[in-house]
Amino acid sequence: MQLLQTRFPDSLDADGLADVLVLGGKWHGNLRQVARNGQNVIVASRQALKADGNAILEINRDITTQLKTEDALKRADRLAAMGRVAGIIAHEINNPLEAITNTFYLLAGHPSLDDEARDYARLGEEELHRVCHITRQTLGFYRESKDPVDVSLPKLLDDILDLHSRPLEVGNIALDRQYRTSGYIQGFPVELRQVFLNLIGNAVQAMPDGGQLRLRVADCHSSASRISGVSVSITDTGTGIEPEQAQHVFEPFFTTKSTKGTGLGLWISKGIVQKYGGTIHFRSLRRPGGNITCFRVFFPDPHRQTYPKSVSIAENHTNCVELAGGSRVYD
Amino acid sequence: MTKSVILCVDDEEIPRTLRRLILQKQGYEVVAVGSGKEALEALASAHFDLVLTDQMMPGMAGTELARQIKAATPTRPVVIISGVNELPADISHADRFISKIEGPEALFKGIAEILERYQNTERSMTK
Repeated sequence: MQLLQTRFPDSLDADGLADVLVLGGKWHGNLRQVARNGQNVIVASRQALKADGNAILEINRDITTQLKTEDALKRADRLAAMGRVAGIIAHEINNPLEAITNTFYLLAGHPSLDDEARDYARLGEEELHRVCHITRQTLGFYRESKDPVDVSLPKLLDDILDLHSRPLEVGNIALDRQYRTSGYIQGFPVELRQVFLNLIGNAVQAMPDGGQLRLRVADCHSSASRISGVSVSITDTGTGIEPEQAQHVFEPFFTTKSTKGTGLGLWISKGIVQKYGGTIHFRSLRRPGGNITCFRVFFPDPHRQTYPKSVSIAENHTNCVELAGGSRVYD
Repeated sequence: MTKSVILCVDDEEIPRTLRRLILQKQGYEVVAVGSGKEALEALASAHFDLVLTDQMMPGMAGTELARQIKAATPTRPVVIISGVNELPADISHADRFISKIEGPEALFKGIAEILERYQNTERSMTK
């Protein structure tokens, strides 16, 4: 690999390294180098002064992959630790929450209450539902099984659409399903359901005056990263996302839905997708003729189970290409 | 129609009482006990259509109680309710796992489905 330049650590520059070699005769450490193709590599470098100080012997070993692996393991450890903490908190919170929920359930239906008192009890019950909703979203990922199972993404989407059949019908929202693969991946249905429940729910809520909801599932591969997998696109013709909001939609507690949203849905969805090694992007085009917003989720191998057919990622981007006039991709 | 009788097991008194009350309000007859050991004693002396047990209890966990119940009476439905967000390791002896956070309606639905499933099986066997 031909190298164009070496980037030294903050504490050391080229002159500093020369001084170290002159004084100590040798040096070792990590250096960041840029290859001719622009790729950054990190090398473990050992350098020593030879031939009475007239030559430097330098041995570099590319440790980029090793460092990335170590970093991935550290992140996995952090996620596992977070999962354990979430489990403990879930137990401590869910137990009293169940008791309070049951208390309100009994109270709201108690015959001794007058109308005013019953209204107060119902208010309390509604607020409690919000707390339960947030807890469920953040801590309540109880899984149906210990091991991942085969999940058909088209079937999962259909199950979620069943839940939204009434809002779709009443809200005058036309549905267009384009399932081009059986779309099996290995995963936990509860987690995956949460991702697409959030995305479809957001799309439906973005179309209070009706519109079109398009769901597309396709096998694809990225020619850039050479990763194959399955992608799911959810496109709506709703209110769109303001450019100034676009940078924040995946941040926790960011919501455009006033008191109705927790602001956690997309943040959690992104976290789940990343856990599968996947990506989530969106494009939103606001224009006088109608807005179009497309969220695209990509799950790479090895979460795939079947590879019935492949289309290029460019083809799979059809939904987004038509949005491309001046729009940006956010992830 | 006779009321189904549920044995409700939880080591914590307040959640146990509230769960008994909401189930009674739903039309079930409920006996509540505070441990797996008391549950096995109750089952030895009376008939219950379903056992609803908490998972995390000192002495005997819900999964162990389910295992012992099924070893003695495989046709006794057992539902485990839990506040944890992960399935217990040995869940195979229980008929259903319900998260506490899902609320009363999910609990009623889960119990009704399991009772119906067992009653249908019983009916088909007696035909």
